[in-house]
Amino acid sequence: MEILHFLGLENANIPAQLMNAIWLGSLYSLFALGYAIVFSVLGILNLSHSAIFMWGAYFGLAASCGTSVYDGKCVELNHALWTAIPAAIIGGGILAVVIDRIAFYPLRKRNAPRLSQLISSIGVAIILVNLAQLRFTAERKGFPIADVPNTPINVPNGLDIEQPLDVARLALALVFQESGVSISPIQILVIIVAILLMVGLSYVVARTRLGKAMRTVAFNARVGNLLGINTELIYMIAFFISGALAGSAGILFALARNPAVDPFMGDSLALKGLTVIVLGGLGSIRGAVVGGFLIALIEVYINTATKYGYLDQAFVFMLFFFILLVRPQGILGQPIEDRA
Amino acid sequence: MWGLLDSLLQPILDLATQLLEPLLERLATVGLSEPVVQFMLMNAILGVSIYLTLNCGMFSLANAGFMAIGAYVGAILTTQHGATLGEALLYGMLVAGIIAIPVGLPVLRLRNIYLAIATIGFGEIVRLIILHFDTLAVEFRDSKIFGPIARPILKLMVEDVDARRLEITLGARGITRIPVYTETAHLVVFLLVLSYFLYRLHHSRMGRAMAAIRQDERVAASQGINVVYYKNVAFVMGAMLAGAAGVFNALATRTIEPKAYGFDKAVDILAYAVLGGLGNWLGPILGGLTLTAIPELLRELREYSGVVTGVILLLIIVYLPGGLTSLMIPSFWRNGGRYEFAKRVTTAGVVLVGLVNVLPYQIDNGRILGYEFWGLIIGNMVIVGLLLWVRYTRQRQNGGHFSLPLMGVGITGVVLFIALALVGKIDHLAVGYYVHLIGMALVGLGGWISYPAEER
Amino acid sequence: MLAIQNLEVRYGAIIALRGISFAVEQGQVVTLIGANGAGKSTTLNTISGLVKARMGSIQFQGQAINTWGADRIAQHGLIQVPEGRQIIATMTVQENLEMGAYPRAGGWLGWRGESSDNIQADIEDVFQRFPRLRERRRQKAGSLSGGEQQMLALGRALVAQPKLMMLDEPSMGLAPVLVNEVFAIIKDLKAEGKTILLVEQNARKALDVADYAYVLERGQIAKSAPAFDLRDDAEVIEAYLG
Repeated sequence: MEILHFLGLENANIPAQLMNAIWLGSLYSLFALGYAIVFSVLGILNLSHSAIFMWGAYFGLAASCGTSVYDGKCVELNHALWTAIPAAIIGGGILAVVIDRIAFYPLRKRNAPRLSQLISSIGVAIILVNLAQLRFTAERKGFPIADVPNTPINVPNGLDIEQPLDVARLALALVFQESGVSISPIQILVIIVAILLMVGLSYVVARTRLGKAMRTVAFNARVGNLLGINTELIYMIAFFISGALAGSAGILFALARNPAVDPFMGDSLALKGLTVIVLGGLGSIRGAVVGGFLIALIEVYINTATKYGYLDQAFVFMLFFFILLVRPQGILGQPIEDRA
Repeated sequence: MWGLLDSLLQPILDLATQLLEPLLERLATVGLSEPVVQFMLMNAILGVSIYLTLNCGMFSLANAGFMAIGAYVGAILTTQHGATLGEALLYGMLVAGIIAIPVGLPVLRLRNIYLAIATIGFGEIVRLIILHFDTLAVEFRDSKIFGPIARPILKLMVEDVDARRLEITLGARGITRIPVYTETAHLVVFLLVLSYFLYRLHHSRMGRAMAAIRQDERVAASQGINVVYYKNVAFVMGAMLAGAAGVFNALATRTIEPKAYGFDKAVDILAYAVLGGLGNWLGPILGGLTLTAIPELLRELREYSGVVTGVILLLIIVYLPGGLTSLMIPSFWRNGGRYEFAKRVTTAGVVLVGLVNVLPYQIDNGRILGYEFWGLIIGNMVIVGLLLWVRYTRQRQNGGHFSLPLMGVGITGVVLFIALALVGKIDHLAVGYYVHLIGMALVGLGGWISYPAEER
Repeated sequence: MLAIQNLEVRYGAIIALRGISFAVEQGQVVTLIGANGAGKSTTLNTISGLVKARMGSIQFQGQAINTWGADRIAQHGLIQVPEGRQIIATMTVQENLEMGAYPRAGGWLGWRGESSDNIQADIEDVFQRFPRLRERRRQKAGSLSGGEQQMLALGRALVAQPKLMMLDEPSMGLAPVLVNEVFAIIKDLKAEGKTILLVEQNARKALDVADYAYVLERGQIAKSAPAFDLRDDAEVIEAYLG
């Protein structure tokens, strides 16, 4: 209890806040993974990643709401809610591949300096955000409230054991009943999807031939080429995976914070995602996951335990700044040479 | 001292005002009113501020942050202390420069991407601190440890330090009712002095040292150039210029808010320098002037000014890495030859057609030939895809002199669109229609330009 | 097997190769010798498809390959062992060898690829040849010594079942004992009937193992003859063997 008092947590509902940090952390990790995968394979910092995140949410919204998203609010669903998720994943992936062909491929072919690629990705980000604004207006949109199963689960009453979702509710309720944790089915979905994608991705990278080819190209593209690897194809796949991760993070965020879809929804995440991968070590896949949860934990802590909740963003950026200066390779990264 | 300087400068400013008057009238007729011209000049200063760091091989995006510092210092001084423009400018630049020293020393040890993202982080921290400054100020004032340090500093900013709430930066609302002191003549004179300074810098020892550092830091260091010193000097100078632009900006707009100095502004500043070109100091000035003027000149584009900035940034960095100023260098046109030229023309055409198709509302009130949303998207993808395919196959296969497929597609596109308009399929001939026509014509032209086989 | 005609390569304004022509026949060991910057590595990189020729043709088994990408050329059995080994330091020895068989395994999807048993058998052959690699198969390749790295690079190329191997300075940066070992390996490979194009600065050793030799000077072929004859050529002795 001493330590709780010291940390300012004596009044906090720790399991509830921990749950909060976990779902937020899954989202951050998912988003940052996409950043990290492109950085590790191509050495590019794709600053349009947050714009893909935002477009992913719109793709999802358009898939289940239909064209009504265009001019006004989504009043009723044209298709099932779940169609939003694959639409966001595939849409985000394709968008990322297109971005690569337009903004990065010509520069890569010319052997342009890395910084040109940073600049062109900034250009793409501006274009995408402004296009979204023109297309969908700046108004915040969301799924029709009644269709999103967003009510928090507190106590198990009237559960149907036959329903898989209710089984999950029961399990959660049993675990957290005492502590008064409330978590919505969508937040559970975020955690499950995030974990599935993260486990899947680390399996692909570590075990499959594709993963090995990606690691080879990341190590040295020329060598990969000499070994018979079609490097451009690997780049395309890396971008697709990255975009798919951004899109999935976008739609999950949109569902969990419904209504949350607007052209600027990615802005705060752009720099936060950067913080996450810098914290974890640029280009490190594991680092992105660990960093995501760490940042979420720090944010939730600042918001609950200190009176400086309004400064949570500033704290995150200070941390980011500090890490860059003290240990630019991050907590899990390898030493870098980009330092004098 | 101050009075002497003032009396020296006043005649120059008066003269400049007189000389500028007819020019400003002329510019106003094409849509560049005096406030717009002032913004163009401020942005030119900002372009130079980022150029100073880029010229030293440092990719720093911190300038929006320094601009914010300058703007708030200027605003507070004029509203709380009744400072003049000259005083505000002096202190704004000084504060920005002084803050730049402790920031620069550690940060400039980073390179490339690491430097870029660290400076992005710095900009965000500045914005957030300004946003929450009033609350923070109260915290610090009331704190036992920092109180004695914070009080005298806060006294400079506000009359009643002991008030329950402090109102200094006023959070997201921003500072309002700032006196308007900035005149176009001030900006022109400032920019002229700056240009002279840059011109001299280029031919000085310091300028050559900076160029050497940009080429290769290690080589420069081995030649006895004090890399750390010059980098920090460039960084501080850039910060001071950004601060000056901030002061001018605050004293021209009446109102300032932290939102205006965020990441978007940092990117805009970068775009000025990239558009103009980093080859010499004229580039960023040209870039700042042009990029500010474009949305004003093309009134139809004003709504799309964000898209325009993005597209310009992308196109320049991909197709014209030397920026606008590289067009003025003769060897640019000699390099590459006719094949490169044909390729550029085609690309311009494809980009135009692509742009129109991404914004289909501009062609015919949201429908092309009566197709709705999904049909529209698919149709557009087919058109742009076809063009890209033809362009790239030509690049790869056609060892020849001119490209029949490209000409075919271009001419068909032009004929088809004219025919559709004649038949009356298109109700409303909007700008997009003409842009589409021009794009298709350019594609055809690109195919028509012949080039000797060995140029590939 | 490999026929180069009139190959010209430029880097911007610099002319690296000024129209060279040569050929490698099945089962032969051909060496390109010459000073630094004569264009030896450029020649190999152009054949491998990493550098595009401005003019000239490259024929491999009767097919023109100058427009192909490097990956496609490697898939057709023209394998380069690049200068400085270039093993993948972040992967284990076993994984490095598996990457050598990447095209054989059918690329990333494994479509129409050979069975992994076949490939593993070839990897075992490499371990047979270089027993030291077997001991270190689970180690990261970056932790190997220079000589072991060169063996890994050769092994990686062998797993690809090359029709023609191109070795770029295999003895570079190795201790004299290891240099001898590398050339012993090349002799073994020659005895097994492998076709090899060897680029070397160590002209004496290269001429010892080669059947035929070309001397490159400033991007041009200054001399070409059976390796045995060049060993006694006065000019060559003075310039390269001295």
